Amino acid sequence: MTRLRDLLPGAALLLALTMGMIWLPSDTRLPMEILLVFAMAQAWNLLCGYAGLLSFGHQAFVGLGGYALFLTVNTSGLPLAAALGASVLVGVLAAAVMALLLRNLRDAYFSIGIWVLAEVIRLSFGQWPLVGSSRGMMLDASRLDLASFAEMVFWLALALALATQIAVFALLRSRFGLGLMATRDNDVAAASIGVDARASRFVAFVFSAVVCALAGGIYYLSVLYIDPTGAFDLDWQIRILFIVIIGGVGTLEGPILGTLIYFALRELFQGQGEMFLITQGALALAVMLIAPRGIWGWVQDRTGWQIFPTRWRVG
Amino acid sequence: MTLLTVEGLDVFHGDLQATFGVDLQVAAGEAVAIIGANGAGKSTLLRAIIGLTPARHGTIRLEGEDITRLSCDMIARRGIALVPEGRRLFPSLTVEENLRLGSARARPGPWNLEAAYDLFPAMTDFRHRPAGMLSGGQQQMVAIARALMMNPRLLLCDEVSLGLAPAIIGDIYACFRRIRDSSVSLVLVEQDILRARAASDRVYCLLKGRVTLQGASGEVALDAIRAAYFGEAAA
Amino acid sequence: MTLLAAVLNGLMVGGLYGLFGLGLALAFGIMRVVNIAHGEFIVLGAFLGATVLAVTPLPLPVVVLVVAISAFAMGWLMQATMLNRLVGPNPIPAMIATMGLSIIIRNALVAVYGNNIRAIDIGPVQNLGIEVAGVALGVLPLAIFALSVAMFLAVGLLLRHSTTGRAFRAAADDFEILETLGFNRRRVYALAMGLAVTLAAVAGLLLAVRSSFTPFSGIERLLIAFQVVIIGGLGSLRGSFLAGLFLGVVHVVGLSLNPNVGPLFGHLAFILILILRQADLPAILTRRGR
Repeated sequence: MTRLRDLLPGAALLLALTMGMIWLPSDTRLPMEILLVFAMAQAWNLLCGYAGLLSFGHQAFVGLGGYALFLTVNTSGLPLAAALGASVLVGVLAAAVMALLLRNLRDAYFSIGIWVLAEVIRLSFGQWPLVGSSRGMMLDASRLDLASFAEMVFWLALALALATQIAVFALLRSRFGLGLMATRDNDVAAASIGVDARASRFVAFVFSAVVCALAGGIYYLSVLYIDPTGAFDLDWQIRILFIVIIGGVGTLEGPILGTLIYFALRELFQGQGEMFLITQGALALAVMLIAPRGIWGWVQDRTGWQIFPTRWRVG
Repeated sequence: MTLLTVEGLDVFHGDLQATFGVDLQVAAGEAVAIIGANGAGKSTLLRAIIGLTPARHGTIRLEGEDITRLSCDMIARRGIALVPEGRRLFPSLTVEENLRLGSARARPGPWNLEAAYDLFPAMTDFRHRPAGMLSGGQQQMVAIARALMMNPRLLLCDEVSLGLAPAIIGDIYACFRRIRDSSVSLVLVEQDILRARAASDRVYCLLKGRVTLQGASGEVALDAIRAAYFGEAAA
Repeated sequence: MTLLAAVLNGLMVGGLYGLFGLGLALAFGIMRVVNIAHGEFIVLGAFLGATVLAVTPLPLPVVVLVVAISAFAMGWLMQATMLNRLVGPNPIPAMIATMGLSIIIRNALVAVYGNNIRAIDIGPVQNLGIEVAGVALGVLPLAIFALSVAMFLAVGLLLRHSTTGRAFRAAADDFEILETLGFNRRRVYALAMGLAVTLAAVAGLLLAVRSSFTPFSGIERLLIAFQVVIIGGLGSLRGSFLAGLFLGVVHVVGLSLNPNVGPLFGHLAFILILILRQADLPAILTRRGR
């Protein structure tokens, strides 16, 4: 049974953050990016922190989601909602094909195998004339209402971020989530009590792919331009990785904290790209050596705090 | 002179406590048998002595030196060697390569390749075969020889008879006499009460992580051992 | 370039690819650490070599030696100070840590050297050539190929006939038992990582002598090394060497067909092999308990 007191702190936090996003900034551009990057990070966290699959190739889904949206809008004239549907569809398909190719690769082999696939996709898009090859393509904006455009993209990003957080929370509290965590902690024991590890990993993988594809679609929709170097940039993956690792992998609060830290650092390092990246790398390395469960994991180990409780409590 | 002294040893596997305040002594030149059922904590005790599983409480001394907090490789170099449960040869190395690794960090002493082949002449026939392709009995010979190459003062043997045919077990046990003649002390962990008693000077019985009985092998009655082994009240 | 020339050139590059993979396979086989910064060490070898060549009058063979020694020290230090604390049944922490390290090295190289495409100029030797069976072959590529073969043989000898090499193989099998034989596991690991990084950096420098590089080349090189490991199998010197040759040929022939696709053909060949070999992969790849 779901208790109200399990849901209240998380709901309050999300409400406060949402209000902050809506009211504080004058420009919606930065909040939109924050929300999208957060959604990607939380989805990747489900995959890495709960399903135990470390992916270095999620930039593929970001780019594919963006391209799916551009191609749908430019070639079919379907409404925007359908174009976002195309992003979802491509995310699902790509994830399914990758899962098939990588199904026998575990651990490190999976991590780098998916990276190779992401590179193949990037290089192929650079050779594909329909999407402008390496020059990229513009979004046909003739049927978009440019007056309310920025605001609409912001609301889309907010919806995706909230939906992702709530979905991951709900997933983890369900039977599926219990199975996933059992598999992560001990897959032999989990299998012996009837948890299908492959199936639950697959679901987590597809979910993370779809969220990244949608986030990519919304992000490039706001930019109106997409090219393979940017859309399939490893930097997407580094960003996601940094946020989850710093905040706390395997906690639902970690990616929220990590996203705030990431964007705070980015403001701090404005114009010093290399120093910003070096700092990210050094912090990720330091976290692994000092507190492998990240900042929130460190706090949680000492206080037992959970804003989004994923374990059932007795009494 | 006491070679090994274990006092009040508590060892944990994760959150599970495997031994409770175990005391144990091994004199120089002595053979001590530790018997007990599955899960009695015998292997864990050996792992703690050689430093593979650190003890949480208690002390382990080797000739008076406290080795409780030393790492496994330091303990090994001070003269304790292990014949592990399940033999655990390096399967991708040949038999002779396994033995050479045993001697690479060895103390000075009588055991070398020649002495090892002399102890188990059968090993000469398969010395260049990969260790992963041997029978159980052959593997056990190599495991014992590999540990001996360290020229230990104390040899810990974990269930050397497990899964072997009786005739082969006899051969293996026959070698312990010669090993003791080279002034190596022995700790034999066994489930086989009779064999353990016959091959040792003293026996310890472990039950659920506690020493329930100890005494000279010739003196402790089988009934008392059985009672200590299975935890029944002694009649 | 004729097809035959492309194949021959591919073979010569392939020897170096094999060395990339060998270093990665050693580290992974011995301590289950996947060094994501492997590619960055390959590129670091090139930058280091280029710098030493530019600022000192040392000849190339001496520079190779200097790079080898510095790379060994870097690998040793990385393992001793960081990765030894992260080895364990879960491979993810070490991967994330080395991912962090790779980001640091890559961007530090950009900060120091800029992100231009570079090449190493070693003077007139570069243009010397001989003709074999009607195909013009550079003396330099041939020498580099010979050196990579020699390095493979040297690693083989080390693994088979030295105590350190046997300890490497034994650590891959069962590190606990190796400790009971008096070996310090951390020291064995540090030596192994030193060797792995040395192979990476020297091969990286040799590749740079014949083709261009940027601070971002590390990613591509890491993926090549990884593909060599998967195609060639873990713990097989011959497998790494042959897989390297195969990928080298695919790359050079692919580039001669379409110079704009980079490593795409190599990646596609890798995926093809992944599909063809679905059945017998798990045996090598399942996680071993520790």
